[in-house]
Amino acid sequence: MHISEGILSVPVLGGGAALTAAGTAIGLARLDYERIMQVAILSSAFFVASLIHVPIGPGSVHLLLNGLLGIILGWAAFPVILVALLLQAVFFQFGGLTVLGVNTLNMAAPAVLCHYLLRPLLVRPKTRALAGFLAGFASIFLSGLMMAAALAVSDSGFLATARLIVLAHVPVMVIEGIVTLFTVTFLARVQPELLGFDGKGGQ
Amino acid sequence: MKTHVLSVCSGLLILVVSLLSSGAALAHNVRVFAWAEGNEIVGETAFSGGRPAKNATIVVRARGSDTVLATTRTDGQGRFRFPIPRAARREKPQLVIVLAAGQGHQGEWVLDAADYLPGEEEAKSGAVAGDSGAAARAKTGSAGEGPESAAPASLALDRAGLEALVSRSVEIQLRPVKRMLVESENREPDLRDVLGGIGYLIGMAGILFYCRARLILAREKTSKDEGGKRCVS
Repeated sequence: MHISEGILSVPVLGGGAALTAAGTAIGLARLDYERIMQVAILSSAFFVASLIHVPIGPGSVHLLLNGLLGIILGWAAFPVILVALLLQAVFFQFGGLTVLGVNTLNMAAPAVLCHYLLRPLLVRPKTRALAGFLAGFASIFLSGLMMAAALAVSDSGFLATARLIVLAHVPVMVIEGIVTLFTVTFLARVQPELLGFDGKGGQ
Repeated sequence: MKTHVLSVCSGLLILVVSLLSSGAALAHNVRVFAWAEGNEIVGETAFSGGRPAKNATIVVRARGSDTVLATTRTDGQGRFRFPIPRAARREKPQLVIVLAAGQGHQGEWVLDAADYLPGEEEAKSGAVAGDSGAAARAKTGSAGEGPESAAPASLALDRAGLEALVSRSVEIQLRPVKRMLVESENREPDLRDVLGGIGYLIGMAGILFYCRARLILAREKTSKDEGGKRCVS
């Protein structure tokens, strides 16, 4: 899901960086200081998850956990994913420094979208599991589409690229759906405030 | 309550780290490495985790120019091989070998002229060695007793053949070593990297806590001061 250096054109890089800067500003403004430690730990989980490769299907794909981050953190997913991607670029040579903005946007925007779309389903206990699965599943799907859109300019057209990327990520979508489902239902049982059910965090 | 949150989150993290260390450590960028074998440049590709990039495009350029010197594709094992381009032989630029594996994956590898044209480098250094040898011989000659003023002509002829033979056999024996060297430059992320990254993240949280705490303390102090003034007045 990381786009390498030297592929995208300057306008795409600039646009991604600007949108990521805006998202990060919103995320930081809404960040609740009471939750910094949780945020750091979720960021660590995202940082490490990319090393877990799913050896099924045609492509080279790995876990992302952006759906889980989005549903728990909301807008704070932007700064969290930005920092984690920066460290991945430095430590693992995934992605790169110039593409940091585009990569962050591709992974964080679907996370925020999932937060707002699935929140109503998540609050109701009956549909909670469904919301968890959809968060994991849809966030990767949307990230794949955004990545295809970013690559469309320099690769083989949007539709062909999107089909390849989405097909390669189907196993990860299912696995992340299941991981997010269990994490969310478990948290709802033992630690509902983490999910913001007390009306406080989770903005 | 807060510690409960932490234990849940760190449980998740430990799960992730243990998955990682149990050999499932595979990931997501693409690497290409290349070295010279005789008149050819050969190379291998891999996504991190070891999966080869099959049937991917390889484009060779001289560093700092856009002219494409050669293009090829990787085979079913992610390997490729192409003859050293004539232009590269002539101008001896640094070669940039770019692998485009599709879906946003791209990697590159730089080969110095000395690495892919070792024969010519050797020839040059051989000439230098010959000169210094001649100088040394001249010195010993002036001291009075040189061992042999000139090698017999037949031996000199043999020496050229011998040199070719030795350099070929050395090259064959060095092949695995070259490969190992190149591969060691492209190491996989390991536990050190993971722990380092997590350390940075926790450290950032610590810095934020520190700033927050200073802010709260400053606020408390000013409110106390104001309260004190009110009492005095």
